[in-house]
Amino acid sequence: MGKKPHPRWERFAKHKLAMIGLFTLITLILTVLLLPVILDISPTALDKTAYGKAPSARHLLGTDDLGRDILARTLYGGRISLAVGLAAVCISALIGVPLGLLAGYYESTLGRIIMRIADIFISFPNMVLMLVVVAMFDSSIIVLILVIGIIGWPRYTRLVYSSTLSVRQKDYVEAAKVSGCKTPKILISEILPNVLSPVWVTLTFGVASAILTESTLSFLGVGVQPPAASWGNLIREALSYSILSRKPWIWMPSGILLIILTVSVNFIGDGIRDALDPQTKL
Amino acid sequence: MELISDDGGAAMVKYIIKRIRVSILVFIGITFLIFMLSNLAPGGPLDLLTSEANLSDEALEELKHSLGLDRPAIVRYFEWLTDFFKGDWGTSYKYGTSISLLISQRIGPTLLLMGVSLGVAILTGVPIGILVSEKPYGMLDYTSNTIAFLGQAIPTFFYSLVLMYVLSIKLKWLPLLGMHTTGVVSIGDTIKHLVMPVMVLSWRFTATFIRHTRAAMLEVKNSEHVKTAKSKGIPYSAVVIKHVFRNALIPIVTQIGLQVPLLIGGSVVVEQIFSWPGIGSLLVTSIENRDYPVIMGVSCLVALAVLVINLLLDVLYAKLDPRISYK
Repeated sequence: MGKKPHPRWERFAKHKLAMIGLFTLITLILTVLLLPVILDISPTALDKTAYGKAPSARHLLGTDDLGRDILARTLYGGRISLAVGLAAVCISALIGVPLGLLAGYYESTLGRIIMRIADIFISFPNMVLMLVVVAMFDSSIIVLILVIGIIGWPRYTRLVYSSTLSVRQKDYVEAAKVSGCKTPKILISEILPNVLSPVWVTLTFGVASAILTESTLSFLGVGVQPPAASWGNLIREALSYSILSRKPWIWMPSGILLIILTVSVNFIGDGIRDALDPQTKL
Repeated sequence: MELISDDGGAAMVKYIIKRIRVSILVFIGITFLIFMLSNLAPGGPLDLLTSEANLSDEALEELKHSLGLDRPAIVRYFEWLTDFFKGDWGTSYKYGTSISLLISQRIGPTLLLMGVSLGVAILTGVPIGILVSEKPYGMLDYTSNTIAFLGQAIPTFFYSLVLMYVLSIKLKWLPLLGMHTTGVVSIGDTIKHLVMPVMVLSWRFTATFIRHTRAAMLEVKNSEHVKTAKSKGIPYSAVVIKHVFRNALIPIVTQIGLQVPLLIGGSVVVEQIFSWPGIGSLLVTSIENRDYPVIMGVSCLVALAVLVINLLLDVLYAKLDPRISYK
């Protein structure tokens, strides 16, 4: 206790936009988790006295055409978006980072095969691949997380691969080799810690893009399926002309929250990048 | 990097052949993956055909046999592949027409939308990038950065809906959906229908081109040959155009290649929202209908397009930069 904060953390704390982003993100997470409990509202309960009604004291953001409370659906949708985004990114990194380490360390055939597969994934439009794959399985939230997660791995592999290539030749790695360390130990305790810092940045930006991907898929009708709510499928309602033109309370809140979420996550990502590497300024 | 010797031409041919070989491997990899997935998937083609009829086991076997679904998937994949290269892309379950016909009807609008969007992005992004590089960290730089940032943070589909709501429903300036007003065939009408989809699709690419042009220009400006040109008293504008921009072109061309997959992915979403009668909306409809032959056909077309474009850009890249070795 009483330890001086790490200079990286100090740099991050000085990054104004990142702090605003962090504060907004925490507020948003607490809101989607706690507000439905506090207000005691359900995303699926049907109010037979209010079909497609504008915001009122009873339904703060109005109701949809089935009489479901939009505030509740938006908040529950936020939970799903956040969960899908975080889980998918974890899967991408858990696949991508070890493959990058292996490819960079064994630059031979194995490395070439891994990097070639990564190239294939990157050159093919991810949105098309995801649409096709998600559509072929019955879309459930688990499938969605797996697909977004699995398709996202090459970014991490490429990143870790190039850092591993340079770290591999450092003296301390050679020293570990000479002193008889086994390869897995070298990879985990000598190389991994030194290639991770750009991964944190990519992870953060990755959360924003995974959330956008989930909502895009749900918007196109292949992601989260009603009656479960997600920001994407709430915005999808606006594909109906009457809702687009006359009932903006159904689709606008989700869109606005989606923007707030991605902007704040991107701010945090910028902050982390500047904190880890004060030289780079984009 | 290695300088090209006199046999540069032969080396280039070798290089291109090597790239083509790699591309074919990639193509087989992607199509194989999608083919296998579409066969393993629950709710496959057979379920679709039999969902309404109550068939006996024997009738089911017969149906399987007549569709060729009783043979191993790998055999069917190679049959499919040979047919694909013969130009027989199969028949849609849903429409009953051949897939090559469906695609030929839909490809025009998609190429129009993507071409115009990419054109707009390059023609605005590159000049703004050059302008911004004159005064890095100035007002214009800051503004374009903010716009670029928003382009990445605002989801395409939400931005589209807001545009539709404001420009079409509230202000009634632009038509809401489709490519033509029914019964009207005029260029002006199509242009009006193009405005919103292009605004949406080109935004993030414009931003990308601004960023990369700026970075490339700044890098080249600091190089020795530009300093020499300046010190020789060549007019500044001539230095920028002849010496800086020409060299900055290489990373810009690379960007075009990298953006193509995103452009295709983006146009799927945009076409679906604006009911644009292209390949992207065909894909989404086929997915809704589980029309596997069409899904296969469209995915393979996309794979083919990406590979061909990358191949062309590789060659262009090599032409632009004589320092590239073809090894």
